[in-house]
This record gives sequence, C-alpha cells and structure tokens, in this order.
Amino acid sequence: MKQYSIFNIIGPDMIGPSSSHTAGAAKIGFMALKIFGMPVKRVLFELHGSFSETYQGHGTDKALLAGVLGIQHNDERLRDAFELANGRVNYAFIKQDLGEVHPNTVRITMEDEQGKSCVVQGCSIGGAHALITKIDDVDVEIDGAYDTIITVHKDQPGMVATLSRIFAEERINIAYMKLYRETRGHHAIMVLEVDEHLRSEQLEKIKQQQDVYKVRWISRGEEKCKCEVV
Amino acid sequence: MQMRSSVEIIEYCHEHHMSLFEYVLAYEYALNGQTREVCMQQMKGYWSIMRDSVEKGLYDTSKGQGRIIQRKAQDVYQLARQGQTASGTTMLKAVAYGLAVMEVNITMGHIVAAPTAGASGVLPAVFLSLQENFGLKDDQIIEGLFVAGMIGSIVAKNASISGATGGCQAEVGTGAAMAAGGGVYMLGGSMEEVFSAGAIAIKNLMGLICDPVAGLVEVPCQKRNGIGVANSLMAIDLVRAKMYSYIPFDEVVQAMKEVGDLMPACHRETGIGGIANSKTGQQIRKEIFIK
Repeated sequence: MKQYSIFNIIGPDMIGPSSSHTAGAAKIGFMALKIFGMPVKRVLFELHGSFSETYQGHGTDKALLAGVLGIQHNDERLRDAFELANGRVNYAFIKQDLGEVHPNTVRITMEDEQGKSCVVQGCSIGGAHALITKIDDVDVEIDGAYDTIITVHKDQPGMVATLSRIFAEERINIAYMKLYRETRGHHAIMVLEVDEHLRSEQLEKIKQQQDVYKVRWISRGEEKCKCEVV
Repeated sequence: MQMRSSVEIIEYCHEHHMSLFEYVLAYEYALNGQTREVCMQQMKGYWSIMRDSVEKGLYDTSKGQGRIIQRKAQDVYQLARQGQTASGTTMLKAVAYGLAVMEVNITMGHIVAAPTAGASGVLPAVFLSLQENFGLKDDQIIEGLFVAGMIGSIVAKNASISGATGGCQAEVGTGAAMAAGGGVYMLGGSMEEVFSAGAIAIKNLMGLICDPVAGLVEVPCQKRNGIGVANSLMAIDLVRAKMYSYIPFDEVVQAMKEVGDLMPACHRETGIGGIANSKTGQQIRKEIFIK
C-alpha cells in the first residue's frame, strides 16, 4: 500500500492550469532533456490521447517545449516557451496514435547540433507526476524520484556484478534496479535508482568499464542539468 | 507510522503526547528521511507562493484573461471591502482570495497544488482569511498547513483526490476539508475537532461532479473554489460553536469513495457531462476548439 508524502498533497508549486496537462507535461520534457544530455536543436512532439485532444487549452504544448528547453514546471518562463525557443530550437507538435498507452502520453524526438538523436516517451499520470516509459526502443519506467543511471551494455554474464561492485566501492546504495534486453547476447539495458547524489567522476568510472557502451544519468527531481537551452 | 485513519492517528498522538503537527513531521521523517528543518523550509516556501498567488490574482491582471472566464476576483474583493454584502465582509473577502488564485492558475501563473491545481484556491484563501482575522503568525500557519496535508493524505489513501477518479468532491471537497481541519488546528481546536471540521466540509460537497466546460480548468472550477472556501469557513465556525459531525471523519471518507466509485465517467473530468454538456457549455467548447 502506497503512502503519500504531505508534499504530494500540498504541492508541488507549479505553473497552472493543470497538474496533469501542464506540470506533468513539463516534467516529461525536462526528464527527456536530462536523458538526452545535450542541448536540443530540433524536437518533435507526438501527442497521444487526451494530450492530443486538449493540449492547447492547458498549455501542454508550452509545458513540453519548456521542459526540453530546461525550464521546469514551477518556472514562470514556462508561459513564454514559444518565444524563448524562437531562433534557438526548431519544434513541431503533431497528433499521433501511439497504441495501447496511457491517455496522457507523448513521444519526444530530440536532435542536437551534430544530428545525434534520441527518442523518449513518457506519460503524465496525475497529480503532476510523470513517468518515462520508453527510451529509444526500450521500455523503461522512470519517475525521477531518485538519481537514475541507465547503462547500455553487452548482454553477457557478470555485467551486473561488475557494475554493482563499482557502486559498492563508491558507497552508493542501490534503491531499485531493473534489467531489460531485446535479444539474448546483444544489447542489454540496466536502470539503477540510487539513494545518493551521483558525481560525474563516479559516472566516468562506469563508462570506462569494458562492454559498457553507453551511460545516461538523470539527476533527481528538480536538480538542474547542464544542457539547458535557455 | 501511517496516514490511514483519524482514529489511529488520534490514538497514537494521545499515547505519545504528540500534537497532530508533530505526528506529521514524524511521519515524513519515517517515510523519506526528511528532517524537520527541510520540511519546515519547504512548507514556508509554499506558503509564500500561496500568498503571492492571492496577491497576484487580486492586483496583477497583466497576464490577461482565461480562455472562457474574465478576471473578476478584483471586483468581488472590492465589493467585500465596501462592506454592503449579503455574505459578510470576512466571507466574501476569503471567497475573492480563492477566486483570485484560480485566475492566476488559469493564466499560467505560479500556484501550489492543494491537493490539485484545480482546487488550489481553497487552502490559501481560508488560511489567509484566518491569519488576518485572528492575527495568526506565519509559524502557526505552517503548522496548520502540515495538519491540512495530513487530512488530504488520509483522503488520498482511502478515497481519491483526483477529479478524474472521484469527481469534484475529491478535489474541492478534499481541499475544503484540509482547510477546515487545518483551520481548526490553528485556532486551538482539539484533535477530534480538527477531524470533525474535515468531516463536515466533505459531507457538504459530497457527490459534487467534475464537469469542466471544454475540459478547461475554468467553468465551473473557479466558482467551485469559492464554495469550497465558504464551506470551509462555515465548518470551522460550526465546530468552534461545538456543533460536530455526527458521522466520524473516516466513515465520511469511506462514503466519499463509494460515491466516487459509482460516479459515471461523464461526470469525472471528461468534459462531456453536467455543465460541460449544457447547450451553452457545448457552444463554448465549439468556439474554443473548432475554429
């Protein structure tokens, strides 16, 4: 049975008008930016379900774009996201049926200056809570409550042990851990949520491990990232 | 420690000689290790945003109108100040505060969800009104906010605080119960009285559906926040006159859940039933979305 923090009831502080269609949307955009980890140059938002029906009335479009620019759900600049993006980021919104997903779902395709891209899908599940449900082609479930590390590595024995040993050495406690893979022996993905705040040198240590192809890091909640556009 | 029922919490507090406020702090610490200082700091920040949102709603109309509604909180406030009112100066001022916060919310301003954005006017309005009339200090307000949060947590745990799940009773009804219970706490009421006020506030809005015109948080949401404020102030005064709820808080919350579960989908934030389905409601929807 879930327990609610008092601050889930009073709070969050946010830009109105809707906790699900404005604040939740901004959180999805902001988490997507953290996952991408680069300043976004071009971005496409594909809106599904209730998001596609009522997005203009609730400022869902502004909120999503604001998030990708690095503006958070409680920042008054959210209202001016379109103006702030002008000349900096190319953006587009389209309605899309994304299949059997939560009614408030969006798929965000981001591209940086060099043309490197990343696709992040997320949904707003009510009360300003957001969930990232897909990164590129892999299904995940990330709510941003903890510092989260996502590794893409070779699907072979010993990888979990190797990575968890580093965490032990660095005195980092793993709160939640999930493994995903597409086909045996190819790429596997590990999502680790940890109690401590991570430092960049600790991430470097993980990156340097053999057969670890990619490491993404999402700092928790409202902590800033270094890739804000505005 | 739990946020399951008022009976359990009152029993625990009596046994450990704790106030409701201290219980909530201990609960937060047990839940996520947040210290008293961190919690107090965060709530202080929220109170300051709440007060600003009332202020902005009353005095700053530079952010324009809603998609449907015009900025009217200022006019209501003026009427309250002039004195000749049907509902009384205190009541109407407080209602104007609630309407003002909703105008800030609608025009994409900065508010604190309590328990949601759509019901965010009730708690700041009631608490600011009590602060003015009883000369409450900010520290007392902060304690009251924690107690209000506790009431909302119990509702969230046992029923719902989302209009899409439980209708407007779950949003404005819960907001009013939070403000009423927190209000009684700040005015020195007993634990039993805190929950009695919460029970009265929920009972008075039980069955209220969520039927936003064009799906927007404007009509009837803004005025519903107004009735949430009035309802809450009344509940506080009834309890202060020792007129209590016959039905205990926990049972009222249970009844609210039952009512929410039986509520058809068209009356749960889908924008297709109730006022949203009225001839004028449909007309407004067409004008906004089909151009």
